[in-house]
Order: sequence, then C-alpha cells, then structure tokens
Amino acid sequence: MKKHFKRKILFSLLSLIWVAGFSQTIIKGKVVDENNLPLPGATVIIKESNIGVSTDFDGVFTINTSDPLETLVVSYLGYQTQELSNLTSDFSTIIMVTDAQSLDEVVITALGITKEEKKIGYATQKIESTVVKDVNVPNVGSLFSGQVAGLTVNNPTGLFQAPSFSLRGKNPLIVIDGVPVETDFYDVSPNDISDINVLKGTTASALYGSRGRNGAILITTKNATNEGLEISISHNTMVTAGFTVFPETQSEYGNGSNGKYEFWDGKDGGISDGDMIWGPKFESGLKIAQWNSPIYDNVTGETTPWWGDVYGTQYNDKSRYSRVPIDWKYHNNLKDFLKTGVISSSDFSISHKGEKGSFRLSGNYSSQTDRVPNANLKTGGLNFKASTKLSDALTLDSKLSYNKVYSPNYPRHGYGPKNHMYTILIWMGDDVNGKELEEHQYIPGQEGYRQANFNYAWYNNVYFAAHELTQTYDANNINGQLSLNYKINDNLNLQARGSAIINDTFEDRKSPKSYLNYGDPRDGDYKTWNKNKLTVDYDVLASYNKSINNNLAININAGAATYYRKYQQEYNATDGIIVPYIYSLNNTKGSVKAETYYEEKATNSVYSTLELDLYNSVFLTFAARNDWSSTLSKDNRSYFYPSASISTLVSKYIEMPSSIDYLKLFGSWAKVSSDLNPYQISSYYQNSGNFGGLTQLYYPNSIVNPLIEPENSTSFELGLSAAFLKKKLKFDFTYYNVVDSNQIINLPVSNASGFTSRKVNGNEYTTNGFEVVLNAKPINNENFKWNLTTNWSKKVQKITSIYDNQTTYGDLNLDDRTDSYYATVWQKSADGRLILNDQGLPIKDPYKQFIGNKDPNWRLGLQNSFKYKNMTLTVGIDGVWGGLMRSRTVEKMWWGGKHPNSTEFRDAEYAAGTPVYIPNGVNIVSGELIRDVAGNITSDTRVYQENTTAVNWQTWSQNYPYRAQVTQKESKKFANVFDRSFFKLRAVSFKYDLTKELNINGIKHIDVTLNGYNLLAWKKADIIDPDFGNDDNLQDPSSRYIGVGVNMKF
Amino acid sequence: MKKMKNTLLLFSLIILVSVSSCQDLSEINENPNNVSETHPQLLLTNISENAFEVEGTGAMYASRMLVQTDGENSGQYYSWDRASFNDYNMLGEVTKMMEEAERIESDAYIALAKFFRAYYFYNLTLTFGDVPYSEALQGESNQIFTPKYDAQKDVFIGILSELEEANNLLEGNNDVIYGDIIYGGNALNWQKLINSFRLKVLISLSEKENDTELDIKNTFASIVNNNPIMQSNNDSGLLVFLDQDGSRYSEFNSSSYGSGMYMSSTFIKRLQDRQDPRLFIFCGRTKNAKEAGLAIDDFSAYEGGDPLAPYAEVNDKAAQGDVSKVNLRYSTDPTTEPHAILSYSELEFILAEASVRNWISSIAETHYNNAVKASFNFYNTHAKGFESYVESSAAEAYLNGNLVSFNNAITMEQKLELILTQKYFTSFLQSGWRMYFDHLRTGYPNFVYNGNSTPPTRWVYPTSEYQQNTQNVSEAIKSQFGEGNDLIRELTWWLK
Repeated sequence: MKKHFKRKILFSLLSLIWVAGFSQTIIKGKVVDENNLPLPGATVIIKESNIGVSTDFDGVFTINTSDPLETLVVSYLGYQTQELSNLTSDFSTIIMVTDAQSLDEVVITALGITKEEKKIGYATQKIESTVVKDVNVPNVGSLFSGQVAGLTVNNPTGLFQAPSFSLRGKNPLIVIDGVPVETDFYDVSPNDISDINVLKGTTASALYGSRGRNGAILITTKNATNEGLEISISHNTMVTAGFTVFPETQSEYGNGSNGKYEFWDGKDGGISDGDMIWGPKFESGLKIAQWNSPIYDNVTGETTPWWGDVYGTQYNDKSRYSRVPIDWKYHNNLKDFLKTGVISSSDFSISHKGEKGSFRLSGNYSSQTDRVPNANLKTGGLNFKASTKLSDALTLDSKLSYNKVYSPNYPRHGYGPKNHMYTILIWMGDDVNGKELEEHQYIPGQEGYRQANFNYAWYNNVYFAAHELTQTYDANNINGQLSLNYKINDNLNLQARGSAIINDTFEDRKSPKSYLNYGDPRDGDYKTWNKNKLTVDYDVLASYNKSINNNLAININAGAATYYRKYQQEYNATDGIIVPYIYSLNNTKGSVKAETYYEEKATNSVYSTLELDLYNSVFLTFAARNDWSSTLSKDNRSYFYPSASISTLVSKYIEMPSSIDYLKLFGSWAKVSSDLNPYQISSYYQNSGNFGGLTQLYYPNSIVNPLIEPENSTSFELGLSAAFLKKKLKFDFTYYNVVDSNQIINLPVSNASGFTSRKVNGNEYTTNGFEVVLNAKPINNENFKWNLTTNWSKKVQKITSIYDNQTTYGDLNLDDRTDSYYATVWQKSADGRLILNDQGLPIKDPYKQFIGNKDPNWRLGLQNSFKYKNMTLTVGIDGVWGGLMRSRTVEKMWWGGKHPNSTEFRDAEYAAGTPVYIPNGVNIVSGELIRDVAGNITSDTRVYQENTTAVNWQTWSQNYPYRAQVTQKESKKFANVFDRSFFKLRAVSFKYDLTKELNINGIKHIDVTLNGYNLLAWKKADIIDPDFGNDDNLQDPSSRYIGVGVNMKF
Repeated sequence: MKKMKNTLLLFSLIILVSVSSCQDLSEINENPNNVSETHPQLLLTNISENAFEVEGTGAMYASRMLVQTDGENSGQYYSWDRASFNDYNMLGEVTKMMEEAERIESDAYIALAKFFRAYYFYNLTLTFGDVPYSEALQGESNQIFTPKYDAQKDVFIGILSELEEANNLLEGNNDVIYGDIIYGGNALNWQKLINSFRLKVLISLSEKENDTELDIKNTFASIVNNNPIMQSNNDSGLLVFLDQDGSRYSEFNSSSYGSGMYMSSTFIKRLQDRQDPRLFIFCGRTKNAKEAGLAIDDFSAYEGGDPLAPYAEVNDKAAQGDVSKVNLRYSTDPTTEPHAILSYSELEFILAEASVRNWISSIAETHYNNAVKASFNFYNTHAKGFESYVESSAAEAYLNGNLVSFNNAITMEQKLELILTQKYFTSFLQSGWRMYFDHLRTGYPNFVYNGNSTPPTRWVYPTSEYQQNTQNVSEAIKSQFGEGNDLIRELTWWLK
C-alpha cells in the first residue's frame, strides 16, 4: 500500500519532466514485475549521459537518445537493477526480478520520509494492517498487543476504557499521516489504516523533537491504490461470548456480619445491614427480612409489598410494622447484570485513481452496546484524502476527516460508589434479588426522590445507577491537512504542509436525587464540561538527492516546523437539583458553580538530515533538530537534538555461506530533550473553591523553578538483522541503552520546608533492553503458506544517579530497579515467621519492604498466519513472564467477604460460637526490635513463642489479606500481590476469499471472516486479568468476543 | 542552477519567517487562569476553613467515645504508628498569607498569620515532640529543604511569643478583616481568640509550671488581667457551616456513620452516670431501646460498645441491637453545629484549671459553672430539635448533680478530674485531639486500655522525614529518646 503511495508520488513527480536533449531516437518500453504487472515509477536512466525518466501508470517509458546503442539502467525499489544495451526494438518489455539479496522494503520513518530498510540504523517494526482490520475489537489499539517487541499494551476491560501503550517503558507519540495527534483510537477507523510502523528508538523519532522522544507509532491511512474507480464495503459484528477471566466470588453467604443479618434501614439499623458480606449462609427454608420484604402491619394484619427502606413513611414504626422474612437464597447477580455486548461496525470507501490524481472517500460507523445495561458507544467518521497534480511539478495532497465519538451513557470504572463493579462485585451480597432491584428502582410512592436499595450507607442500587446516573460523551474531531509538493528537478524536492486538528468535546453527568457517593450531596446534580482543543502544525521540508557516482549517494533533508496547541475548558455544576429528572443548570438548588481554564503551548523547530550511501552497503545518517519551546524560560527554551546512525550490509562485502541471504548490522546514537507543560515556570495561586461565597485560594506545595532546563535522554542501539534459507527465516536482534538524565523531577523535600517537593533537573535513569524478532516461513508453497513471527523483549530500568549525590530517592535506593516494589507488609521475625499480637492479629511494619519487581522479566508475542488456497487463518498469542502486581479487587473481596477463600472457617466458627481459626505465627514474649531511620536493624532482642490465640475468622480476613501486601510466596491462600505471568490467545481470524467461488459479475472481491478476540487466558494470578494492567482500582470482567465479517469490493 | 539558488533562498526565508515571527513564545506561556500575587483575604478563607473544620473521628476513637465494628481501628486499640507532616502544608499557606500581608502592609493579616502559625505548630509539637520550627517554612524564601528540628521547649517559646506579637499587632487595630468566615472581619474578636489561645497553650504546659524561663504562671495571669479574652459564647472561635456547596458540615453525608461506627461504652456510661442530657444530642438510642419505645430522654435507652473487646464481639452486640450509634444529626444535617477550635466554654475550663492550680485568683467554681453552662447554651442554640433538653435550667440542675457539682470536690486532684471530665464532654466532634492531649497531660479523664497498651504519648515521625530530612530527624530522635527509639510511647518534653 505504502509502496503504491510512493510509486504514485514518484510517478507524478518524475514522469512529467521534460528531458531536453538533442532527440534523434525514441526508445519506448514497459517495465513489469515477475507477474507481468506494470511497475509505475521505475527509473530508467541512460548510463552514459545520466539522463533519466520514470515509467508511467502502465509501467511505460519513453526516452530520447542520441545513440540507440547506449546502455539503459532500469531500477526499482526492491528489485535488482538491470542494465540493458542495444535496445533496438520499438517496444521492449523489461521484466524486473525481486532482489533477494537486499532489504529494499520501504519503511516510513519520521516526518513521513520513506527509506529502504537496509538504510535504517535503528529498530522499527511493522504491524500488519490485516491484523487490525479483520478483528472488530472495542478499541483497535488493543490489537497492537503482542505485535511489536518492546511495545506493551494494557487492555482495560470496560466499555470506553482505552488501552494504554508503553514503548520501551515510555509513552509513545502517535502520528497519523505525518502529523502527531492525541488520540485514544476511538476516532480511528481500522479500515482506513494502511500501514502501522513503530519507531522504537529515540533515534528513529528524534526528528519529531520532544514530542517524539519516547518513540512513535506511525499510522498511514489509505489512498486510492488501483486505477479507476473502486468501491468497497465491509461489515463486522462481534458479540461477547462469556468471559475469559471472570472474577469468581463466594456464593454461599449473603450480606451481614458474623453470620447474622436482617434488613431495616440499610445502615446498621437492622442487623448488620450497613455493609459487608459476612452474613448467614444460603439455606433452603431459611427466611430473613430483606430490603424487598413486604411490610406487615401487626394491627390490621395486612401486608404491603415494599422495596427499600421505610424512612420518612408511616411504616417507619417498628412497634407496628415489620418486614416479612423471605427466602434467603443465592442470586447470580453479576452474570445477570452483564448482558451480551455487541460491537457492530460498517464502513465503505470510494476511491478513484486517474492521471490527474487520486482520491479516496471513506465512511465508518460503529456501535458498541455494552454488557452493562443502558450503556453504549457510537463512533463514526468520514474521511477524504486526495492527491492532485496541479502542474507537472506541483502536487497537492489534501486530507479532511471528521470523526465523532458519542456515548449517551457509559459506565464508570474503578473503586467507588459510582462504579458498578464496586457495588455488584465487591459489596453486594448475592442474597440481594437483582431482578427486583431492576424492577423496583424507587421506593414505592417516592419515584424520582428515593432509590430502593438494600443499603443506604455506602452503595447504590446497581440498576438505578445504570439507568439514572448517566454521563454523556460527545466528541467531534476535525482533522484537515494540506501538503504541497514541488518537484524542482530530479534532485530537489520541496514540500510544505499545514495541518489543523480541532477537537470539541461535550461531557455531562446527571446524578439523580438520593444517589449516593460517600460524602457528596444526595440532592442530585448536573455537571457539564466543554472542552475545546486546537492543534496546528506547519512544516516545510526540502529534500535533495544526488548520486555522485556509483559508490556515493547523498540525501539531504532540511526543514522547519511550528507547533501550536490550545486547550480550553469550561465546567458548570449545579448544587443539588430542585425537580427530579430535570437536568439543567436552571434547576439548581444552590448557586451554579463554574470554572474555566485556558492553556496554550507552541514550539518552533528546524531540522536537517544528511544521508550518505557508500558503496551501496554502508549507510550513514546524521540528523539534527533544534526546538524552541514556549514552556521554558527564554534562556533554556532552545534545545538541540543530534542523532546519528549507521547501517551496513555485511553480506555485501564479506562472503557469506549460501544459507545466509543477507546480514545487516546497525547502530545508532541520539540525544533528545523535552520540555514542560505550560505555565510551570512561574508559581500561581490556585482556586480551591469557596466558603459561604468567599473565594478561596491556595498556593501549590511544589516549588517551581523558573530556570528549569530541558530533560535529556541519550540512547544508543546496536542491532543485527539477517535472513536465512531464501528468507524462510529472518532474525532481528536489537540491544538498546537509554540514559535519561537531567530529568525534570519533583524532588521530594522535607514537608517542614512548607512544600512537599521542588522542581529540579536531576536523577539519571539507565535502561537496558533486548528485543528479538524472529520470522519464519516453515511452509511456503503455492497452496499452503505458514508464516510465524515471534517477538520477545526484556528491559530493565535502574536509577543510576540521584539528585545532589543522594543515595535514596523516595523508596528507591541508588541503583535500584525503578520498578522495585516497596510495600507495606506485616512484621516478620528474623526467620520470616509472621508476628502476631496478643489478639492473634498481625502487626504492620512501619518501614516499607522490598517484595520484588513490578515489571515482567520478559514479554512474548507470537503471530501465526496460515494460508491454504483462499483461506487464511491468523492466530495471535502474547503474554508476559514474571513481575508482581497488587490486586485491589482481591483485597476488597477479602475485606467485604466476597473472596472465594473467605468461606473456609465460617461454618465451624458460627457452630462453635467462638473463634476457631488459629493463625500460623509467633507472639513476642519479650525484647524489642530497634531500627534506624533507614530501617536498618540496630538491635533485635525479640523472643518468640508459637501463637495459640484463635482469631475471629472475619477479623482475620479483614486484616491479614487486606491491610498490607501479602505475596503468593508468603501465602497462596491470602495473597493480594500476584505474579503477573500470563499468556493470552489474543486474536484469531479466519478469512475465506469467496471471489472465485461466487464469481459474481461486478464484484471484484468478496471475503468473509470469522474472528475472535480475548479468547483464552492462562495466568498465575487469582481472580483478576493481568492483561488489564495494574489492578489498583478494580477491573471489570474480561469478556471473550467472537464475530463475523464480510468485505466486498466493486 | 540559478533557479535552484533562488529556490533555496526562498526556502530559507520561509524557515526564518516560520521560526521567528510565527509565535511569541514568552507571551504564550503567560498564564491567563491564575494570579501570582493576591490579597491575603483569599488565603485567609482557605486557611480558616481548614483550621476550623471538624478534625475527623480519629481522636474520638482514641478518647473512648467511639468504637469501630467493621475493622480494627488503630486509634481505638492504641496501635498507631506514624502521623503525617500535613500541617506543614497549611503552614506553607500561612507563610504565603504572611508574605502577601507584608506586601500590602496589613498588621491585621500579619497578626492572623502569626496566630495560625502558632495554631499549627502547637498541634505539630504535641503530636511528635521536637519539630522543625526556626528553619521551617523557608523552602521557597531561603531554599532550606532540610530544616533542623527545634527542641519542643523552644517551639513552645516561639508559639507564645508569636501569639503575643499577634496580640500586640491587633491592639487598637480597627481594620476590617476581609475574607473572614470566623468573626466577620472583627479584629477585636480575633484578639480575644488569640489571647485565649495563649492561655490554652500555657495550660498545656502545666507540667512546666516551675520552669523559670517560661514563667508560665505569671504570663498566664498577666494575660487574664491585661488582655482581652473571650467573654461569652459569642466570642468563641467557631466555623458556622452553611447549606451551600463547599460550606457544609465536614461530616455531612459521611458514609462511615452508616455502618461500623458505634458509641463507646466509656463515654456513654460517664454521661449516664451524671444524667447528662447532652447524651441525647451526641448519641442515638440503641435499636432495641427504640423498638421498645424508650424515649429520647430515657438514659437507659443508650448503650455503648466495649472499646477493649475484639471488634467482632462489639459487632455481635451491635447486631443484637444493643449499641448506640452517633446521633444522626451529625451526618444528615448539612449545618449540624459550628465547630470550635477554641470555645468560650473551653476557655472557662482553662481558667478553672488555672485557678485550681493557683495561677490566677478568680474562683474556680465560677469558671467551671460558666464553662458547663456555656456548653449547654451552645447545644441549646445549635442542636436543632434537642433544645429543650439543654435549657439553662437543665444546666443549673445538672451542675447540682452528685458527680458534677464543684462543691463535692475536696482535693486539687478531684477538682482537676471534675474539670477535665466536663471538658471532655464538650469534645464530641469538637476541638480535634485536644481532649486526648489533656488526658496525656493530666491523666483525666482516665482512658481504659488492655494490658500494656497504655495510651500512646506521641506519633512516629513520617516516612517522608526519614527519607527527605534523614540527618535532622535522626538527631531529633536521638536527643529526645535515644537512637532508633522513635516510638509511640516515648515521653516528650511537655509531658515530663
């Protein structure tokens, strides 16, 4: 696809150049590939005079020559260059042969500059566009998982939770069609993606300046590829099919505490009805008064159906009314709550390519209906891309796209009363009849005013929350781009480009009356956010190419760019609402609260690259960029990024065994810098609300530093790339070392200074990493092809220097890995036994202890593609090995009583009426432990005895696995810190090309796909999905998706 | 070739133009949202709210007023370890207010800044012992990032002298103080509060009565005799809450009141023993009592949980309906009651104690009676729906009660116990940790505990100091308690 793009440009620029000469003879010919397909844009040069032309769309060239016996040199990227002499015939067909020797595949690098792979001295890796096209996942970014060595994707499991990316441990820049963008990928249609290339190292992305210092993911959208008119449509539907990881909970006990429960007001006015799921066991025949029990009038003997508490009604009189006990039984609430999710996407494209140019118009619409009731997300867009030849030398490329991301309501995620998993997974006992919660969201007669629920202290009716607490997200994204290309002559090209991205987002949140969020008002409220973002990029680029002779070619690029970003936000909120259901600022009870925020940032840059090709086997690139950033002080705002890389085809000059197709070695070095966010070099008072109408200001507790300098990052990279056995096996290896120095850090200072931190330049972090990519084609015959790509990566980052030569930085000691996990743990004896107090409970260690590293030891991705006749099967597997992660989900399940292991001693203890669980540990008989401020033991005279005190099982469960970190090594049963290791069957797609079978007139292509995403997982952690990323804030169940799709071209 | 040269020239021009003229980078980085300079009034409102709002429930667990039934409360079981230096964050705000006040040359705001410095440093030193004082809060002005620790005595001397300076600055000052949510801008009221606070600090140093350098007795008497102090409930340092966003009662809607938080038997028993009607204002009836139809003013309708029992046991008792919860008004009324950092009632208790200690000549009993009446009057004014239980006649009757009447106290210790017990009763969701510190100082009222777990006398220094101010905190630990002994039951200077 990209190749075509390049061909087109080359063609448009080269083919129309009038070659002045003393024309006597005209040689005509056609350049084709091995399959007899024309190669437009191939270069045909007369060797003697160095005069040349390019082939046209049909691969045809016409050249004037003074001497028909002169030699023609025909070259085309990726093919062996041919020299032909004595072309006497009127029309010759020249067949080009692919060049197995070299790596001529073209790769898009920074600023959209295309380069042959052999010339690249740093690591890049492509993601096959078919991977992202065939599987219709909630967010296309998730499909990058496991595709690229060094690129980590975390995949949250809820609706509208975007994946997050980490490239060699840093947050990469996303570039679409040459312009850096801020995107969560909801506004990108997978079907518009033509190429994805990941620039991993700093060198690769140094030309993007500070924005690209962390590497970049370059995405190129499609252009018209084929001559004439082409129309394509496709549709894809996916549904959730069960769960790959479902948070299993205990299903034997309901709400309550110490085995007892009775509902009255849902805030401990009954028997332990305020929180906790440590209540009675589900038993047939057992009846208990519950939130949905009818009300019995012991005067009249009448019963009245009722849902929720009786606060404020005549029934709030226990001397007369009671709640009729009803069956105490299990309800599978979480599974009932989560419906089948559906993702349905359709799109079309119309493209045309002709002599004067080409265009492509595409549209897409996707709808995601969530598993959570009343939540969905719709995305859609129209994208137009065109390339017009204004004159022989001038080409105008334009792009205009409009994308909308709209959700009338999407769920909130994480720990807190607004979030469904908080309620239903952690805090709602399964005695609660979820169906009745859904049917009776309000207390009878109090519709709009008071919700019906089983609890009135902490939690909301989960269905009431789903239907009544709604939040809108409505984003409009316009992206316009113009690029003018002026081909001055064969060697010199000028390009000027401008791009503007406008992103306007409206969000609101409607909270109904009686909605509860800890200390927030219960009077309902309405909040709105208007956010406007504008990003403008201008750049000019001059490229100069010259082959001095056969052994030396130079390529010079020089350019300048400016970047401007503006962000504006306004926020409005009511203070309570008067009339229920009316969500308007006019309906506020108190004063409307409003806030605005405005922010601007600009960067100016100049850059240049110099490439030297020596003997067609050694390739040197030097690049330099200078940025001037508005966010730094005048003296520090200019910073310079040099970079250099070398790549050499060893196999060109050293004889290799015949099994080695080629061997490339490469290395690179780069230094980049980065700036700050706006307004960080002066200190400002911040608004902290008001009291009684009086505005309150506060002064931030971090000291600013007007003299702050840009951060530095120096990296070097060494790599090897080789192909064996006629490219049946390809191997890439990269080692990299990054030193991040002069970091802009908020250095913690003694709180007694009046501040908690100050901004300084300091600290140095050193990262060492290895990346391996292995591509194999074990079977490659006409009918059956098997392609296997494996990628493996590992990296370790350490803190190698601390500001002011200190030896510690926060919890970290000098030379510690930065992912060291220092955790609050329980006190242990010298030989590692748990120390218990006189009540048999563990004691927190006031010093954090090192319990391991958070990052995995390594990551692995495995991409298989099998092709049999017109069927293709792709299978993607990826995962990680090692590393530690804490699980808040598990901790809270222990505390609340939902954890599957929390059932163990309940029956025995309730039967005995006294604690039966004797924790394994020791008590201190005498002596003490003395430590210095660094935690070093200065004396330990503790004497122990075996613990014999039995502890209430609920008390134990609410302490040991909840209040401090317990690793799997310490206790398998009570662990809340887990080994991160997991492997996932990420995506499977089966495509059947039906074009020939159906052979319908007018249909150029038709295929159907069956696909699946997040199909299976193997993991070491209990209950949670490690693919989610850290579980510091609860996670939604991880659904399995399966679907079908159809693609057609006319 | 010439054409090319021209083009290159043109191109260079484009570059120059785009870099130089496009955007003024300095102008772009000027913040339109916020100011770098302000009138101190905008800081005062924030500081006052922070200082005057309810300090949470932690102190009430430690003071045997509350028990927790859904988890082990470290305050209740005296098993806490570190506390934070967060008060220094607010001191940072006070420092800025002082700077802005000096910029506009306003004595009134300078005086208030000195008062708030004294207020926060007083809390800090009682919490830890030695704390950074003389070198503190100079991170921005003098780049002191690892301030040395000052001996607790020196901190107290500093606090007292700053308060005295504050009084002097306010003497005869008629400026209206804008941004004042406590006294509506009245400088005299602040002066009264500041002088009363001086007395509070001095009474805290009762163990240092004989320290000649401090000269506590005479200073105390001199303030009482020569400086304006609070005269009535109207002078109390109160934050009055409003039913507006951001101005509501600190505990309004707090979920923890809905489950797991119950009254402690110690507190309820003491109020019952004295037939103290404020019991009805602080607590709810037990579920069983309510269902049995017991009236609000039936003392037997209230019962607490044993603060020493394992929490599962109290939970069982609560589940059976036999433990009172905190009165609903604290979490359901957005303006429940104002919160005092120093009330007139407390001042009268301080004067009563000073009188018993012979620091002043006025009559202890009068102060004691005034204090109790002021407390009744406070609830009579603010406890909506409970006014009738705390009329002034009820206060009179109460003061004649067996365990309440000042006449029945014979020895000085008995008098102190009487005063501090009554002072304790005025501390429900009021005045933060004051009652706990009073207990540490005087032993009254006594707090029950298990075995060796006596009430801790301090908190361990925060981890951040261990990490960011290693040398100074190590020295402070060494000089106070011996190396490595940064423990919660070490005695600091004021308790020795």
